[in-house]
Amino acid sequence: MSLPSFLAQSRQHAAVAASLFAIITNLGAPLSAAAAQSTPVTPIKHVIVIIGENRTFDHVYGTFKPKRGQTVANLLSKGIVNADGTPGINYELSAQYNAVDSGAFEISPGSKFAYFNIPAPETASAPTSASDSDPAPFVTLSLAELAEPGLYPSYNKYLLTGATGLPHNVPDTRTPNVLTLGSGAFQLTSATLPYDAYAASPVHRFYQMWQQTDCSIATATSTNPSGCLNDLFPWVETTIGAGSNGNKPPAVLNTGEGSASMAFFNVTAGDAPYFKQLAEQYTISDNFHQSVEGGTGANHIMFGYADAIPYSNGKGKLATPPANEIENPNPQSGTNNYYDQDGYSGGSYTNCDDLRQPGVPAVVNYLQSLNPPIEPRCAANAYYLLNNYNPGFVGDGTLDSLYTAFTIPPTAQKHIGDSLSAAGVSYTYFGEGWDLYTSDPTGANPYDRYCNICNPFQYATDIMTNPAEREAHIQDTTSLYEDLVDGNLPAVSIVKPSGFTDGHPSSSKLDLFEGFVKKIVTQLQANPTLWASTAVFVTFDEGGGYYDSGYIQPLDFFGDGTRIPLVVISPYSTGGIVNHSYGDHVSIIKFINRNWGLPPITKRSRDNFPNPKATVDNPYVPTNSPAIDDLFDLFTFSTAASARQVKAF
Amino acid sequence: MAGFMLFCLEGLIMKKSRLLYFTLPLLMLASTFAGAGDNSANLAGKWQLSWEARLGTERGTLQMEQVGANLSGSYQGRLGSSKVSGNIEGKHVKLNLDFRSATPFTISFTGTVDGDKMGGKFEIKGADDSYDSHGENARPSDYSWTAIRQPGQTE
Repeated sequence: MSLPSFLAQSRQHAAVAASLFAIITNLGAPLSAAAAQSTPVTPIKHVIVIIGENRTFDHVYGTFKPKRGQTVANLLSKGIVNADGTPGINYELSAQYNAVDSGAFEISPGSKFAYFNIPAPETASAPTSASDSDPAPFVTLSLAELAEPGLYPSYNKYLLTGATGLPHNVPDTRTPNVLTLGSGAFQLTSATLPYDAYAASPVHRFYQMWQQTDCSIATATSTNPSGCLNDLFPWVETTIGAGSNGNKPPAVLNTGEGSASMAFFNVTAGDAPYFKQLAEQYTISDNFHQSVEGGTGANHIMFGYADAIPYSNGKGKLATPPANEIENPNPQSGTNNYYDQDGYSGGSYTNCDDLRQPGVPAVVNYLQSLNPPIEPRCAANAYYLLNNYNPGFVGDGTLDSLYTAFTIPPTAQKHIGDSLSAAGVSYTYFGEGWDLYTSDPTGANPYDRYCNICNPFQYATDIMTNPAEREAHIQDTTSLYEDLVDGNLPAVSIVKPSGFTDGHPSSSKLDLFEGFVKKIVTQLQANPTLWASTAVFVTFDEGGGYYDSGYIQPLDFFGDGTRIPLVVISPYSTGGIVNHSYGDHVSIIKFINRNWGLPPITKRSRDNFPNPKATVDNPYVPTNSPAIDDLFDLFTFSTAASARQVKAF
Repeated sequence: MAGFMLFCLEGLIMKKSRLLYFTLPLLMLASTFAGAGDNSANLAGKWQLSWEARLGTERGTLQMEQVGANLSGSYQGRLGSSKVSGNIEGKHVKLNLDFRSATPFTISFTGTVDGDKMGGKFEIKGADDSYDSHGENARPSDYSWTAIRQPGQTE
């Protein structure tokens, strides 16, 4: 046995041992249950979930043309744009509006008037030039390959390219006609701004996204019963942006973004070629959503827990966070929508059960106005984390609060790992850069781009305070690559790229995330035994604040938000199918639950929601809301079809 | 130092008056630099350094030596060990921590000294926005740093 093989098998043995330990000590289940390992009800024995960063469905697949017999809801099919990216006959469907919110926070403010031309998209903090000391992009290829080992080899060159050549926070003059883009969506790429270019990152925070999507019962229709218009993206970008941390507005406000939110790639014109190829070859959803309005941390938490996490005393008891950590999106006096307390080091918690709390009435009253009314599902006296705070623990299991005050205390809330362990099903979170991060928990090393807020298990006391659990369930992606070769893949793998390759605008590029996915898919397909029994779910944590034209179903106080891409790659999901069932991140949890016979994570977690029912003429809107799909209908598991598809590989 | 130089100057004037025109300007220049060194803080010794990195506060120990305005020494912390170089002019200090590995990087600290404390701003050398432009952080760095002299560590 080779050393890597031995190590891989050792990890899996450790995983099984850790699962047994969890059953005996944490869950109190009878010992006999430990021997009863759940077996999958489908040929899928392995699930790999790859989560990129910050792209909506229309942003990536806005001009995708499905194969004959399939339909898709996107910018092109709706006539918003033409195949060449120019405005289409229904371009005004993407028109954006100015608005006024100078009183209490509103999610659908008034005094709207349409932009004749949206504010010029700006560069924000996209990299001006390449630098080995401040990558990416890098200057030296050998150094780049050393720092970033997660790409399919032919993509390594993209680690060196794409710097803007422009200062930060200025109009992005690489965009043709940057001052006269019209009132709606525009193609990001051009001869002067190629697909392989860095560009600005739009704001993507909780209360901002509620405003961007502009939902109101007053605008609800039979085909759009949530009444979300998706028409305030540039207004939110230019009035508040990424938050003020409680500061007063500057004399001249420039968030540095402009209308970066309205940009889309054109797959028909050659952008995102690998994702286009995957969509043509396998199955995508055009009705899959980010599960929380907002950013990275909250969405990864919802994925791992099928719920939000409240502030606590770190020992399982609800507590009240410091006053300056409580969100207050009410506009500061004399401003138009400049939030009072919001930002990365500002407020990030909300007690959404209390209508006296700032921001809460606007969302709750909207949910209650819907037909049927949607329950906010906010527990009493619970201050939920809505944005990005560091998880309770760093890599070695010590408290993250030792390094920064902006942490959410450790949680005892149950997560999908607990469900899997209880059923004897192996699982691992593969976070790229984990090994470096464990020795650099503050990210002081500029090459350390591990995403700590992305790892749901880093918030969990039962994982992080037990060295065996940590070792079994959190590993670097280098271990994943070994597992794919050796065939010792866990039943469930959750895979997160580093900040270099996650596709996040400004700090990464979509082509780098393509290269990250391609490396894994290629390795998987090179192992026929694994390939025959594995499904890869490729998706994103959220839409990143980019515009999307799709339907949004309110499920509770926290979301859903805009559509994001979902590609399902397996021998049982071939053929270029476009599925329309309504889903979000928790749909993947529902798939895992159903495949391995697991119960919902908790009594209140979102994986209790039923599968959607919909009418034939509108498959996008569940008639039994709140409802999310378990994604089984993205596969064909019949014996004949399976045999044919495996053989086809 | 200044008294010693005056003593030397007197000797030169008395015994070697021919050299006066050559040596006086040089000595005045040297006196000027020596005076600057005298006015500068003495940073030699052990300091506890901390700075606001991407995900939290990074900490370690500086062991510094000072010759005139030049600083040298070593850093030891969780990031590993590094060579330290820099200089001090009056209360203004510059320090470079060079971390040598397969992926090397240098952190440059600039700031002011106030007794047994010093602090200011830092940057990853060659970077324009080292931490904040890179994706999702729970809070942005303000690029601040502080150092506190360890008790009994003045040299």
